Amino acid sequence: MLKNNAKEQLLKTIQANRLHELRTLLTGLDKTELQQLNTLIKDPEAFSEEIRKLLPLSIRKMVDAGDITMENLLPLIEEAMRESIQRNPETLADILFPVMMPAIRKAVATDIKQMLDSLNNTLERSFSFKRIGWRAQALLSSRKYSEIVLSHAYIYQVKQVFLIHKSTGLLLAQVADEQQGNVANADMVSSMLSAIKDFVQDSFVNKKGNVLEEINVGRMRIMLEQGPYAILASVVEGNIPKVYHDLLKETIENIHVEFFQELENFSGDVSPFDKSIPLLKQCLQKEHKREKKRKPVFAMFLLFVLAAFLAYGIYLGINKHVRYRNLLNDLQNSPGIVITHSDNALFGKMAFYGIRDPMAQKPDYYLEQNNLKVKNVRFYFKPFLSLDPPIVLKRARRILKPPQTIKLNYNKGVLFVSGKADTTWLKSLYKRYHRIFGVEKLNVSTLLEKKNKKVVRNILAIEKHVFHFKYNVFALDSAQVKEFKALIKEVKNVLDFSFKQDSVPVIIVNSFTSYSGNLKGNKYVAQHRAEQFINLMIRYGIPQEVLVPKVRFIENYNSKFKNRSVSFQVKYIKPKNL
Amino acid sequence: MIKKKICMLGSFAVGKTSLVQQFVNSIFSEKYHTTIGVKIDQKNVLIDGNEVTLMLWDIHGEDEFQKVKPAYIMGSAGYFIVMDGTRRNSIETGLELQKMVEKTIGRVPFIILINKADLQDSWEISNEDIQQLKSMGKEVMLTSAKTGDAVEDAFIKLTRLMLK
Repeated sequence: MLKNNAKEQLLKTIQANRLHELRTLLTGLDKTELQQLNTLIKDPEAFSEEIRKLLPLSIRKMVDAGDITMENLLPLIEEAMRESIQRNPETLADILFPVMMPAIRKAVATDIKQMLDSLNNTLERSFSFKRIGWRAQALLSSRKYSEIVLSHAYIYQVKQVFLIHKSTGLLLAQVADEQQGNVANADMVSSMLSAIKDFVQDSFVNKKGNVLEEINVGRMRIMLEQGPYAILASVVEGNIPKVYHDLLKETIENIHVEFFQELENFSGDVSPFDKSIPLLKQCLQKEHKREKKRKPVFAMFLLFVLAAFLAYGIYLGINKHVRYRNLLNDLQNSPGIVITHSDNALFGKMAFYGIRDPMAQKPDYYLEQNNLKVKNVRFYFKPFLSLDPPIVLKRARRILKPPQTIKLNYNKGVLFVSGKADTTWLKSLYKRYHRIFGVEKLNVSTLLEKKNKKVVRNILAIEKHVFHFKYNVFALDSAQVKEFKALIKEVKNVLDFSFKQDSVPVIIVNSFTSYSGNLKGNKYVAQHRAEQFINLMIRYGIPQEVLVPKVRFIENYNSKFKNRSVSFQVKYIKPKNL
Repeated sequence: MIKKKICMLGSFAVGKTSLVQQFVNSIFSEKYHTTIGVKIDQKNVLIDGNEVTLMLWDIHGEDEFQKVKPAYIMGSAGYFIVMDGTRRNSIETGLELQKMVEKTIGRVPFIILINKADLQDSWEISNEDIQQLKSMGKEVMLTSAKTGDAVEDAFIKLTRLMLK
């Protein structure tokens, strides 16, 4: 029994050993290890702890091996995040708060700065003499004017982009805007930027994570976007939009993704970075200023002014010509004026040449009528005597001085006189009409009634009688007696008519003598002759009241005979003067 | 194309800027202008058929008032420690700077230049000093920025060391 028990025990041991051997062969684990593994699998806490340690490495290896890609993982991660945010947004907000707030502050500050820049820019642009300012700027800054104009034509313009190795400051690659002039030595610029960055960060920036982001040089800005191994430096002029900052960030990230190995193991060989040039060129951006299409007001105004001047000039020219024509017509139609030729220069004075009767209308009279000024017109007239009827009439009026009751007309050398006038004027008419140039004949009609005409003839006849006397002779000879009787007859006719007309004529008996010899004696003789005639006339029935003696001295050397004569004048005086 | 950053380091007025000017522009000026911050020059050299662009960072001389900023020497592929033959204390400053550089960027090729070889009569640095430096395993060259002696050789030599 004991023996059997021992045998059974031995068999169990052998079986156990065989099982152990088989387990070891199959799993490679001993019993203890297998038990530990069993415990680990059954305890979720412990198992997840173990998995946590392995999972990142496992994923990394899977990604490296290409078993899974980031594209495969992204939807899962995004889905998980979306789910998480939907369930409890506050958790994410709490997580992001420390990150978001500085970012928001920075974004707001950047936007305000951009807004102020835009405002400054607008104010600057609104200055009307901006182009003069640009000239001055070009002079002062020794830059080309075209470069200055170009810089003002853009809201912003990226001039150069440098890719700089962060620790060495060496230039890895660079691109420049083709429109820009000479680009400064890029290697030097790159190193200096790196030095400046190092200096600033060493000297002023204490907080970890804060980096130099921008260097301002006048209107120029150098934007620095730093990655772990490289810096992207962008030289920009103008106001940079926020999207450009984002572009720089994106570009430096892409460069780091694409050239990670080259950047990490950089030992001075820059040739691999030539491939980064397309990425850098994306950063060479510029934005044109939108020029408002302004109406060419100044040009239009100038054109309008020119057109107005031209129109005014044409108007003045036409107006001047019209006035010239009118004046010429007036002058040509003016009696007593003959225009031989005239001239109307475009920019000079008008000139009229010809002949003019002194009796004709003065040319200046026509200037006023045509709104012309004396200073703008010249007349060159030579005098002549015109036979134009109006001029002859004018001349006749001037010489004859007719009363208002007299009407004068002229036709073909004949002066027609009509109307009423006293005998004195009538006498002067007959005496003077010969002096009127152009009047050859006198046609006096309806001057007086028919009787009057006779009286006038009698008066003229009376005044034609002259009685000459020899020295110291007083008596009339036979011929003179005959003439004297005719005289008496004529005087009586005149007196008869005049008395009927209630007018009183005076017969002046003019006794002429000379100054030679004894003046007193001469006067006495003349007085005596006059009184002798008066006595004779009284004897023949002439009233004494109408006879007036008058002694007149004359000196006629050619015919001294005529110095001793008696003649008569008939004058009418108003009754009240009697 | 290969580009390398080289730093010029040393005490003040040892002739760092003059060495760079002599190497880059072949000019020397008796006038002394202290360097503030850093001055950068560029020189392209042809080494064994390879064109190498050297970016020369002429860093201000170290003295009690201004210390060299470590940021300036970051990324250097090589550097010169410049000493003034007429000032013995420039050795001490130079060695301190060399230690600082090594601490900052690790071991990269460098050459100690004892400058002002044209004034050797008035040198304070003796041959023993030079031998001592060499015995420390350091590369030492005697240069004259004024006459240009060994200047180009020094730059070429350092470039070769950097390209190894």
